[in-house]
Amino acid sequence: MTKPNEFEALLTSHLNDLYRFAFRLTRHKETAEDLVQDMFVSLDMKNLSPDHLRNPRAWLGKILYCRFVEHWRRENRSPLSMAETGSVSSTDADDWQEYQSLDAPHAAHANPETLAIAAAEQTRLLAAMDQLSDEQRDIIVLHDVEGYSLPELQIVMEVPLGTLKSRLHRARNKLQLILEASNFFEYDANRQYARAVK
Amino acid sequence: MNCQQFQLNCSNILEGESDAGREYALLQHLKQCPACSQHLQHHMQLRRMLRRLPPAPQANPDLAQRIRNQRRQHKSLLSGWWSSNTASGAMLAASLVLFAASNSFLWSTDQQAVNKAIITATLDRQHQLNLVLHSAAELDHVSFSIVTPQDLPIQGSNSKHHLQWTGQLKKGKNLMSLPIAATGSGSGKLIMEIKHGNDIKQFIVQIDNKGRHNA
Repeated sequence: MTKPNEFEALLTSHLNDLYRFAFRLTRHKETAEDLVQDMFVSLDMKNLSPDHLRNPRAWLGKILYCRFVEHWRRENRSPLSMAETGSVSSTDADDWQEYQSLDAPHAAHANPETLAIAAAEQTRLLAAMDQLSDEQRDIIVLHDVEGYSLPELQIVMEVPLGTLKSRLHRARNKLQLILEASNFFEYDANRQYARAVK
Repeated sequence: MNCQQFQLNCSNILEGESDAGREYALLQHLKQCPACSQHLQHHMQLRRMLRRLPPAPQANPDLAQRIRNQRRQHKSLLSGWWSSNTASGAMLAASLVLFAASNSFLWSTDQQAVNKAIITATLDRQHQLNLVLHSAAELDHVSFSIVTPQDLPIQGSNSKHHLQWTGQLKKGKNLMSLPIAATGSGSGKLIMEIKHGNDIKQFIVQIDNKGRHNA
C-alpha cells in the first residue's frame, strides 16, 4: 500500500536526476522531457516493493532506461515512426550542439584561450564517444559522466555486475584507442607542457 | 604480471577495487613498462576528461507541474477509456463519424493483422474518436501505442502525437475514446498498435478533412 505523497516525494527528489539521465541518453531536451514525463505519468505506485524504495534512484533509472531502450531508441530508428512523427534529427543536433558548446565547469574562471582549447577537447571527446556502441556509450555516460555506481547500474541496466565491469572496461579501452589514434592525449600533454613552461 | 594482465586490471585500480598484493604487482610492472605506464596515464586522463564534461541541462522548471497535471489526466482518461460490454451507447453519442475497428476475435493466429478504416474530422473542433476492440479473452500486460497525424494532436496530453501505455483488455467489447482536435490540414493516418506477447494487431485510420467548423 502506498502513501498518497509517495509519488510526490519520488517526483521532487528524482526529477532532475532523471532528466539529466534522459538527456544523456537522448541528447534532446524535448525528447528527454517526454521520456521522463511518460515514465512518471505511467509510474505504477500500487506495486511498489521495499526493494524499489531502498534505492529509488536506481529503480526509477531502470524504468527510464528500459523505456528508452525498448521504445525510444527502437522507435527513433523505425522508418514508420520517423515517417509519422517527422524527422527529429535537426532538433536533436541543435540541442546536442548547444550542449557541446557549454563550458566545462572547471573552466569557469579560465581565460578565453583555455576555454577555446577545452571546448575543442570536449568536442573531440564527445565525437569519439559517438563511435562507441550504444551499450558502451550508455555505460560510460552513466558511470563515468553521471556518476552512477556499478551496483546502481546493475539495477538500472539489469545486467550482472561482472558483465557490467567487463563492458565498462571494453568501453573505456575502445574510447582510449579511438582517442589515441587521433593523438588526443599527445595534444593534451603538449598543452600541459606549454602551460608549465610559460 | 604482464602487459595484458595489467591492462585488464587497470579499471579495477581506478575503481579502488584492487587488493594490496595486486596493486604492488601492478606498480612493479609499471616501473619497468613505459607502454603500460602511458596506458594508465591516458586512462586516468580520459576519466578526468569525462568527469569534466559539462553537466546536462536542467529540466524545465514547469516539468514537475506538467507531470502532476498529466498524471491526473492520464488516470481519469484511462479510467474512462475502457468499459466492457457497454460500448455501443457511448459510441452512438459520439460527435465524430464513428469507426469501429473490430473483427470477431482480436487475437488471431496471425502474427500481425491490420485493419483499415476511414473517418472524417472537422477542422478546429475537438472530436472523440471511439475505437471498439473485441477481445476473445481477458488479457493482461497488453501494450497499446497510438500515433496520430501531425495535424491531429491528442487532447489532454500536452497535444502530443504519441501515447504508449500498458494495460489490460476485458473479455468482449472494450471501448477506447480518444480526444483529438483537427488543426492545419486535419488529415492523415492514425496508427494504433496493440501488442500482447508475440501477437500484434495494427489499426490504421485514415482521417480526412471535412473543412472548418462554423460555430
